[in-house]
Amino acid sequence: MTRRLVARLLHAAAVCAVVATSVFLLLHFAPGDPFATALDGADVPPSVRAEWRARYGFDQPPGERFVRWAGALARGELGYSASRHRAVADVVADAMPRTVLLVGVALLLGFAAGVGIALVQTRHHRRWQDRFLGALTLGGVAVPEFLVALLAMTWLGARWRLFPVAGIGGLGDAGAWPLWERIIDLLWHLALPAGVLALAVASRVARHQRVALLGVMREDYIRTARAKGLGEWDVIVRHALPNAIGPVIALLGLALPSLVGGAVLIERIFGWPGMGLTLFDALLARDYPLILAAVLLATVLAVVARTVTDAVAEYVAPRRARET
Amino acid sequence: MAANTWHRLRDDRGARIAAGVLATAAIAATFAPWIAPYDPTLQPDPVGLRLVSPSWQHPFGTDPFSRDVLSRILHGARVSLGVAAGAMLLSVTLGAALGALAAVVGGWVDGVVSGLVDVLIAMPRLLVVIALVATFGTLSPWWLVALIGGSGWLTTARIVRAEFRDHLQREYVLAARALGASRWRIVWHHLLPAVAPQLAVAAALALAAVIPLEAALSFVGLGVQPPLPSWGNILLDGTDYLTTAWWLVVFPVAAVSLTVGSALVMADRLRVAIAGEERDL
Repeated sequence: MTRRLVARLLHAAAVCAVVATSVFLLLHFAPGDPFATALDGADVPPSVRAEWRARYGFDQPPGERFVRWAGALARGELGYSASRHRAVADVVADAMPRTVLLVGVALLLGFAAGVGIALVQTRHHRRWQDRFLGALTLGGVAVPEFLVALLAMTWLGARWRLFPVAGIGGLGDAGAWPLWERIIDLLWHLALPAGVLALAVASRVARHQRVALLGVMREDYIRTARAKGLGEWDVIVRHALPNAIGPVIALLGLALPSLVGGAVLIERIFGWPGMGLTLFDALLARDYPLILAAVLLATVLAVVARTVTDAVAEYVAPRRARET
Repeated sequence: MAANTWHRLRDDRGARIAAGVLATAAIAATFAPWIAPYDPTLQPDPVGLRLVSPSWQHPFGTDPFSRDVLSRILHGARVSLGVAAGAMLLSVTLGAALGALAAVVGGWVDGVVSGLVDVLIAMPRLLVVIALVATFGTLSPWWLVALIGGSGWLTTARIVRAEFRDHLQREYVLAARALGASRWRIVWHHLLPAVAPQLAVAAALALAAVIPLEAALSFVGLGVQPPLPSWGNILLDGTDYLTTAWWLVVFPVAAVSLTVGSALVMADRLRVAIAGEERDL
């Protein structure tokens, strides 16, 4: 257990190091820098350009810039965001919790709903409930999240006005509101983006969970449980599910990078001011330190979440973990 | 074994429907210039024909620039599915080659490939491609194929490596080697045909992954650039008119979902056919 955990942590560190290095290289070879639009006009004397670039270290060779950047990163300093006029760490400190909230809520809701759907499908195997839910989950897998988001925004948001179409909270001085009203307002704004992501998670979980459950349902101990007179729901929930849920959690861990990628798009569509929206703004402004931080931290988020699901999967199904 | 798989697949209704949808999409994409009723970039009357709702003249309506949406979706299929097919072929070929190399050569080569897969697979692919495209500026469709395809070989490599390692242990490979067959002859004549069904699964999954990726990139303005139509940038044109012009959103969404869904069903049914198990499991 400890050995596997250490291996996982080393792996996570390796992923982050590779991401950091490749993002840095990428941006170094890309044309343009944060001063391109402001300084590279004909009316700016070359000495002024050079002075500003030197002030922020852009005149240094790339190797030295990388070492300095990596060293600062190790100390937890992420640099200064020229487009937001703030420290990158502050921008990230604002944005990261919002993305964690969005992805976390979507993950929990989606997982619970997916397992529930699979349970109903297993209980009514090959009957209309199974087929109907199967068609729904296929739809949920086939329609990409950002397209569901557009449809939800059009109808639930703009046409029927059930939910806000964008943003994270109401206008006005939020400090004047009582706390519970602010929480309800936040959840109301969270409903569409988190709901859309949860739908995608639920469909994937349900499809895997159904196959896993049906596989377990052929085992002898299921026949034993039925023979001793347990109701079918008890057999499925108490005997089949505990043995079928572990691999699904592990699979969910593998799907997490794409969930984080999907969240980036969802944030942009719903104007949810998390890491994804920050990334798009930073890309447009060619704000290097912010781009680096956003890509790096989104990956870290995916890696951390995957490490957590791996640990949970191992806890739920220790036998399987020992085998591999 | 492989022949049985194809027979089971042919008798599967879900697989036939999915293959039908994919074939229709491929035909529509190939013959778009002859099928499409209008020129997809023609703006006949940006005032009078702006955002016309679906009618007999314009079955899918017109967009904010008075262009015919049906024609744009048909020509968009050419671009979107072309990029997707190219990226899929690239990623499956790359994955199969690297997976085979890792399994057959083994040693440090296997270590490098497997380690690379382990690290890269933890990164959100969409983020990687967005970062790549955004740094290099606007790209031609060929570059999109290279970037999307080049980032998708991981799962195929993993599958092919595992299958190859399994088959390398079997007696028929030993027999072939005993008869004096070279390593690469065994790979080409024995192992590759043996894993062909799994490669087909990998290809179907890759297709299901790259179609939304291209759509997403074009949707955020980083992919296929106007005036060239793609399913993603038709949607982008529609986002400003969500409440008034539903046809700009619904038809591209349907096009993407139908093709992705068919590719997924295809992968699913193929897996069932390979396992040879009962249909519903």
